[in-house]
Amino acid sequence: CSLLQPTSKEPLPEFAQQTQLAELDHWQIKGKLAIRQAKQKPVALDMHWQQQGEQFHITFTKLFKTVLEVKQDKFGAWLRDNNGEEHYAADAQLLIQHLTGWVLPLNQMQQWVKGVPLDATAQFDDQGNVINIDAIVEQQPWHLTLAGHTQSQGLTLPSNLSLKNNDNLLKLKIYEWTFEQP
Amino acid sequence: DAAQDLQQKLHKVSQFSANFSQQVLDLDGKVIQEASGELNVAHPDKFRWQVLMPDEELVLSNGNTVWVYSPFVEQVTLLDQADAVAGTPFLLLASTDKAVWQQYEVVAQQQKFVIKPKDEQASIAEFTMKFNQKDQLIGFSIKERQGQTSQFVLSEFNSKSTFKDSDFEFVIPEGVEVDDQR
Repeated sequence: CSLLQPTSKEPLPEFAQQTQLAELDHWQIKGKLAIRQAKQKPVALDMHWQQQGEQFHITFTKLFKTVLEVKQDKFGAWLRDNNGEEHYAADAQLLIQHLTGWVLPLNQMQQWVKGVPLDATAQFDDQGNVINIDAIVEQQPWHLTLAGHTQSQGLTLPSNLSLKNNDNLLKLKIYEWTFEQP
Repeated sequence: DAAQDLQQKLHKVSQFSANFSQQVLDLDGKVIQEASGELNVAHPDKFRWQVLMPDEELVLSNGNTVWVYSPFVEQVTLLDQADAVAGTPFLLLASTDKAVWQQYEVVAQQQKFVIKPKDEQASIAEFTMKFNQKDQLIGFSIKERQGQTSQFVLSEFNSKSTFKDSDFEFVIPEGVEVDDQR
């Protein structure tokens, strides 16, 4: 038996929430994403992100038109761009890198967006919510600030994130979280 | 024929204001985006589309220039009217241009009109417009060829509204980035 038997089975408060958030893998987000790549004009898109286990389907619309759709499942990734052209690759991260030159850590982002610092260091506020996440993914530095949180079905989830990679910035405003309890 | 009948109905509401609520549905009919706000239209080609919820966004046209203002990224994009309205409801709601109308086939189903582009490649598969017995416009929808449908319901419909020209001019706020794509 381990000499370091923990006094109680219950994890520390902020970590109880963390395990629940990490296990959450059936959820949807409605929000707005601002993309400001270095030296380029910012773009604001409405975003719908549906996550089901390992699979996700993200749809970006602008006013009335779908401008980008990306899906990933165990077979691979599919993307339909602004001109309606379809692209395929082993995974969405590769696909986006191929099309834009930008390495987006999508696997980690599936956790970061819930405030779970996968492959990263994090700082918590005194309610146990993650407010900063720092990571190096494929030699790329990512600094996340989680500036707002919202309550949903007893869980506290981010409602306002900014993701900075060098002088590229993503700002995500989340209007609505819906999910099935794990 | 149905096209003339629709244009006559639209002529009767050549100036109107209304509140709108919008739902964007994906292929399986799931709501992936929702918005609401205020709409003003004044023939020819002038409109003001103010999204208030979940986030402010404004699309404004004086008939020549269309301003798309997104406070979320502190930027306003300027577009030519023709480029901006293609594939949006404003093309038909605000246009009195015969050349535009000739590109569409119109079928009347009592108070509802179904408008299909003659060009098979058009990104929009179909518009619909619904009127009530008092010939007030109560709703419209856009179905994208490859994907989603945007449905709009109008309320507080007022076709007696009078507008000043300045109602369709945009004054660029301090510090807002201008992205002129004309």
